[in-house]
Amino acid sequence: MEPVLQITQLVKKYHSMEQPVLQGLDMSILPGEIFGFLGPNGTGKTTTVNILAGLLEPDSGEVRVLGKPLTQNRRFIRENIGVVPQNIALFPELTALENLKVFGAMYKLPKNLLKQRINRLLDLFGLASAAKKPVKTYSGGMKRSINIIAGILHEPRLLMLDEPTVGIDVQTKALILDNLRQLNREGTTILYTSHDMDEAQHFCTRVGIIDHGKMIAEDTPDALIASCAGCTNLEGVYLQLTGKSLRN
Amino acid sequence: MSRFLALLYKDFLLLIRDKAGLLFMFLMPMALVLVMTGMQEGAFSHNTDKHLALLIADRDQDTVGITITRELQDESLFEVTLAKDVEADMTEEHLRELVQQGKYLVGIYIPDSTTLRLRDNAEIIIQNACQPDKADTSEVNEAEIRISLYIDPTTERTFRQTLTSYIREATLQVEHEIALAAVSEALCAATRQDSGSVNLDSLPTVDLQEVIAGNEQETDNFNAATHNVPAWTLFAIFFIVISFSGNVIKERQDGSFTRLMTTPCSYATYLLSKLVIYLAVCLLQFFLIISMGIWLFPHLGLPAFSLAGHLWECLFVIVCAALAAIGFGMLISAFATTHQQAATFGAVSVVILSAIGGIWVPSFLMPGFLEALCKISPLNWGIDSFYDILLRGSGFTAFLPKCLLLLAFAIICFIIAVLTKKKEMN
Repeated sequence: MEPVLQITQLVKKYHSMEQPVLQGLDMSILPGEIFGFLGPNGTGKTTTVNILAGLLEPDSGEVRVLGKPLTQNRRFIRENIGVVPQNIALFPELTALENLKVFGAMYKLPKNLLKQRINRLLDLFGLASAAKKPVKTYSGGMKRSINIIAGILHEPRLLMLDEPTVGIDVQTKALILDNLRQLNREGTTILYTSHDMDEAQHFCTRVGIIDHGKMIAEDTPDALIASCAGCTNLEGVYLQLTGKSLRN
Repeated sequence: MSRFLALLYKDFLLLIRDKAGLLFMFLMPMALVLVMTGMQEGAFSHNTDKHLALLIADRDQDTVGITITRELQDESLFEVTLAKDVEADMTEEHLRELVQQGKYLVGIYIPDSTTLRLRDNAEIIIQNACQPDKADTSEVNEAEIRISLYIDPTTERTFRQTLTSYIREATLQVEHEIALAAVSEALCAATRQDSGSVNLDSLPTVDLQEVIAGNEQETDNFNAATHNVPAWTLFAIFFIVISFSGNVIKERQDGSFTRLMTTPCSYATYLLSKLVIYLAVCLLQFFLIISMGIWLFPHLGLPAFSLAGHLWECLFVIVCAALAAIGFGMLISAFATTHQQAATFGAVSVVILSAIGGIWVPSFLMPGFLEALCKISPLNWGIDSFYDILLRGSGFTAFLPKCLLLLAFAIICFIIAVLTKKKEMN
């Protein structure tokens, strides 16, 4: 089976930093997976997502998305991936409906299909009644939900979520994860970053742990826990692999 | 909906929901053009259209007094009051007091026998020169023949100069006539002809022809509206840099721009939609401000603005200026990191560029170094293009180079902004 995402020896260095943030990252994601991309702060998770989204240029290495090299197929790749950024990335003065219409139009969805999908997703996330209110008046959880809907309107083949559930209540988190599982069942492969190890353990079908710009472990949560002496959960594995020292 | 139309829809909604931005972009320039035209028209009228109060005490009651009074009465610039209508026998001191009290801007005192003394002196000098053997035993009265002008301290220098020119011209005319009459008499006597048979007064004089270099219709048409309407329209257009750069920075800060860049939307489409929306704003500003100038100004007692049939030329200049302003906004947004930074830098830079560009006052009134400096301001290229069209009546070739400068400015700003963004990406 051809991987949805194949990264080989990816290197990226920022001008302001002495060491490259990505130092030869290798990883691959197969179709239908929910891949947890875990690691301490500053180890290159968001940089990787930004490179995959076409926001940053890699220094070296190869990235293939949906079987095609990233650099030569940006338009095709952008049409087929969805990106849900870590921060709320919406137009606060516009209503949820207006935001979704604008982001949906970027994928050139037919008007009726877009309308149908917006209504279905707003219903699914319990936001139908608030759809005509400006996003700036929403609660944190509502904003996160719209942030996710804007990334999945076009039913992407690969969805990249950068900490999608940070800072929201348990109910909203459960609703969001349920809907993401449903999306995955419908055929969307998910790349997911998080600092919530418990959530990652239960939500992901496979996880990869990155540290100092390299993948240091990659397997199913259960297999990783089993391979780690004295570990009872993913958090134990994570701490054993990355250590307990504070990261910036 | 296409990507471009969706972005246009988004930018339109963002624009109309930014109430403060709308006030800045539309109400402020409309208020400014009204206030500035009113102020400048007031100052302008003070010396031109309004009648300036003059008080003339003509104690001469002969050719000099009569000529000066007549010349000043004939000129619409002055409102002449004769001293005899105020007080039967007004003294020079009283005339001075009336000016000091601010009742008149200028008081003119023409002493007794001014003409008589001029005439006597002329006759003596000419007779002595032409017929030395029959030299007149009388002597030339060498006491100064003086007309006094008492001037209110608030009277502008240019007005004083105008008035003294009028009086000097009138007195020279009389002196000339008296001298020629005396010479004519002397010649008649010398050639034994009848008195009056030689008339040097009929010598042809040099006539001054005043032609303003411009089209027939647009010649002597420079007033406060002709300057202020296009000037403040350009100011308003450049003031959109605050809204434009603020909008771009806000989208960068709230992440919506980054998100758009993860979709198939191109950076060019993103920019094009902003460009079209803000171009529409600029055109709307232009139509609102010129509508004010054309239809509202006359109702407020201000001079009406006229496009004089040059709408398309003016629109061309406006489009070039709008592109320059949008480019400048892009440049500011590329370097500013916060809305406050962009707003402060945008406002200050536009005010400075407009001041040195001849928006507040026409550049020809500036001191030399500023007049030279104004050529670097894009607002000056704009206002000078309007002068070419509306006043000088020049053709397309006259204002095209300035419009090309505006477009070059826009392109340079765009290129720097895009390169900066690319650098940021890497």
